[in-house]
Amino acid sequence: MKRLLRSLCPAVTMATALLATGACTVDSSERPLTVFAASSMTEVMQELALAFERERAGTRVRFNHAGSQVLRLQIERGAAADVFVSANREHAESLAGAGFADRVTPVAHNELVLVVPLENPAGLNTFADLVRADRIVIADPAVPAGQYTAALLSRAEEVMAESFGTRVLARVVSRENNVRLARAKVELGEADAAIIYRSDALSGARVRAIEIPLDVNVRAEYVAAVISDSSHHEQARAFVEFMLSVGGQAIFERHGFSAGVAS
Amino acid sequence: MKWARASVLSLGFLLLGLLVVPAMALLVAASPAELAQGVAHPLFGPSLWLSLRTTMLSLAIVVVCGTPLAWWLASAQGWPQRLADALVELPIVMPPAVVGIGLLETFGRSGLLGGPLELLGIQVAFATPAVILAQVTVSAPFYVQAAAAAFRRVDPDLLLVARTLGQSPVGAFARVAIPIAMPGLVSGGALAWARALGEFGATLLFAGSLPGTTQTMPLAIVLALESDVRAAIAISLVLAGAAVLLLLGLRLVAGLRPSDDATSRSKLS
Repeated sequence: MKRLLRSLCPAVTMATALLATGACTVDSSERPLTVFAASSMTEVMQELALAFERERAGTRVRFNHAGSQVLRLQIERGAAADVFVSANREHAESLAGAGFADRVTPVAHNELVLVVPLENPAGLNTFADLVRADRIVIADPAVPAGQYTAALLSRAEEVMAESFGTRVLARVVSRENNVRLARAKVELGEADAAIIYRSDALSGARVRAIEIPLDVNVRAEYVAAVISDSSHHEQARAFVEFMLSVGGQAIFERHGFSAGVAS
Repeated sequence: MKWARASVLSLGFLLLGLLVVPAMALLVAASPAELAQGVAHPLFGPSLWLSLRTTMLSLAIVVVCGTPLAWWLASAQGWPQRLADALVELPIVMPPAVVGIGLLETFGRSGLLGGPLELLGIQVAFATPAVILAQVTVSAPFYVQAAAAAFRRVDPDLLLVARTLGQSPVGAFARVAIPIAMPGLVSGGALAWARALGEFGATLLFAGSLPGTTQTMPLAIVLALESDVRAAIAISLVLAGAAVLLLLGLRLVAGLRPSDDATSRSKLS
């Protein structure tokens, strides 16, 4: 028994030490500003944070990226977030309605584009060519990008050809949980085409983007909200204002987003 | 030393608590009405049926191909076996998403076998066979390891006796080694099946997600999480409940199997 105990000792000490460091609450003034942002904003948020940290010395920003719905769930369950940047207004508004978040502010817009692999096996050149693709990947209607895609396809039915949307849907081989997964299928050459956000097309090196006509395209809106019980209220508000500033909007545009303030 | 025993045991129970409490919390979080709603959710039926079909098929493949492999691994201890033993573990240590990319690079359109397969008119990615391949890859190591361990415990003398009584090598294997190793085979199979049922990462990348074709229960749960958390919890509970029932059933069957030397010997006559 003694031997067993002795052999367990290091393990127990280590486990206790781990627990202690994990449980030890970091002084809130040292804790970085925590931003929960939709996964489609991963790169643009990194750059926004760097610029924000340069502007306000001593401030540090860290991120938690996931689908907007998952982020909303985490915040509802008490995750320590300071700012929520959502890919759809509904999730932020419902948090605000339940008292979890303050005023909801639009910060950027995005549009959908068609992406094809660089080798372009199906030989697509315009959006209308999409019906020629064998394997199309879209986002599932359960996520914001999928809802925008559904809206886009039903507008295409009206504007382009009666059967366009149905013909495209018949070629859909996968409905992904998020736009990045849809893009990955094209990057790997497995899918002939995917409908994704322009910003994601821009950050993917191995895909070629094909524009979708303006009369068919839909506008995706990104909104930000400061979390009500944030311990960094002032900093959180400053970060939202920074996203809306000329410098912040320029960063958004460099990443394929368009201006957040309705033009 | 009573206190020492108690304190060491309490560490074990702490772990047991961690394993059980999340499932209990799920149970508490869902009301019967919500459970009924989850079962009625459009994602539920097709994904349950697909998961059952594919996991049964992948289990069959794992057992049919894994049993001879495990026997070979257990039969000798040369360097080929030791190397293969380590290679079998590869899918366990690799993150499932990496396994998925590996499968795409193998069976995908631009993968190693993609060209020949395309010529034969076989499309694996984005189709149900991709789901099964992903499940087989991630679950087979659990079965093969358990089966090899079980075969190693089979006394070689018994096989020798069977041979002297006129059994062919295959006959001796089937009528002596398999019955003796059966409890290990069953629990390995149960573990493999459970792993296949929960398979998510490799399927997501390799098979995609299309209701009825490639969208298994774990994929449906993560998707439901994006729109309706309650439905996701309800579907998870049903999945967990089905898994617990099946695993308990298998344990029961394994426990009842006659596996002592006397019965296996009597079968020879």
